[in-house]
Amino acid sequence: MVTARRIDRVVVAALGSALPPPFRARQQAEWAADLADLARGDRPAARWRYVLAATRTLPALHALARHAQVDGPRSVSPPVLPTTRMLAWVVATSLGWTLLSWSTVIAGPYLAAGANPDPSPTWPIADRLLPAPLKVALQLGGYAAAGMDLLLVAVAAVVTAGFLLLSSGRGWRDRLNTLARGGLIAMVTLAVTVVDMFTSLATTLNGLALSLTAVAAVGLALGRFGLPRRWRIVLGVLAAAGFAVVITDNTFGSAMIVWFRD
Amino acid sequence: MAGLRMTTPRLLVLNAFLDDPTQERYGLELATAAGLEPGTIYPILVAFENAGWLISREEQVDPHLQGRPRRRYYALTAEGTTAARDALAGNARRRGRRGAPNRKLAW
Repeated sequence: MVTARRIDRVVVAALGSALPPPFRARQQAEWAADLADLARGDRPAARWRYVLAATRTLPALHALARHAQVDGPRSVSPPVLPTTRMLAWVVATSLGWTLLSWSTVIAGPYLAAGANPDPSPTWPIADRLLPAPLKVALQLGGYAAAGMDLLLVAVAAVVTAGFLLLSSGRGWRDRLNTLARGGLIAMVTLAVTVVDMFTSLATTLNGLALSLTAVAAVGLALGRFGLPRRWRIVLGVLAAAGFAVVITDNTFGSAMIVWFRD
Repeated sequence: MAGLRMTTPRLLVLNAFLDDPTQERYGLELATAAGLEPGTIYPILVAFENAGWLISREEQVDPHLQGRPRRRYYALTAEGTTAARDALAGNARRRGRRGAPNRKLAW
């Protein structure tokens, strides 16, 4: 199915390139929707017959396109691939959680503590204010911001489990594909985590994993992966905030990291 | 209708529309209903739309939920309904004279 979608993107883009720009997106949407329907029916021969037939109509479409109504989409976003969707969830959740944790267990308490050098937890994670599991999760997020990113792997595992639950009504092949995608993402996040921990222990640099996650968010936000606009905006904002935290931790805010680790 | 040449595929599409003139249909659905090879219908639909026989609109769905781009739905205009009936009647008369009542293409 995923391969079929990739082929469809290429085919639809190639067919559309023969049409004038104002009409192109409208016709590409028609073809892409039809091919998606035919792909669902698992009829590869029908899809190729469709493409050949559509190719034959290009001269006629080109001649008619000049007068055609073009109120449709200005560009056609291909359907988002399942791996991209999972990766977007992993990146957004881990970035969001890391940034929330950074604010609540590092920057917030450090600023609240003021000149007091006592590193014991203050607002908002003081003992009586938050339930223990949430406090642990925030601490984990704090470590992620400070350069020991175990959160990324945990989020990859949770997102994979969530996607597996969502695909429970589908066939075993779908579930296996979801598991394979999640496994791949988890392996990458594990590798990033190990490198990040080594870097933060061996050098004075903090937040390698956070930087790489922010870079991934920028890629997902700016690339043509078919993600909805609001997703791309959220990822862009999170990436910007992520970079800001990394810069802060490694420059004028490095004292906060020392304070947090102590 | 001026300048719109009637071919067998065009007549088949008009015939499919007239099965229920008020219903909106999308391209692949219409091609199947008309017995045309899928993928060949769009020049016909665009020609009819340019002639004012059809109107089209994009469906209002989230493409990401549907897993495909938004479809374009086509419907006959009042002018198109009259013209389609005229075209099919004219074709039936010609076929009647020639004794060839076949209405469907075989793909």
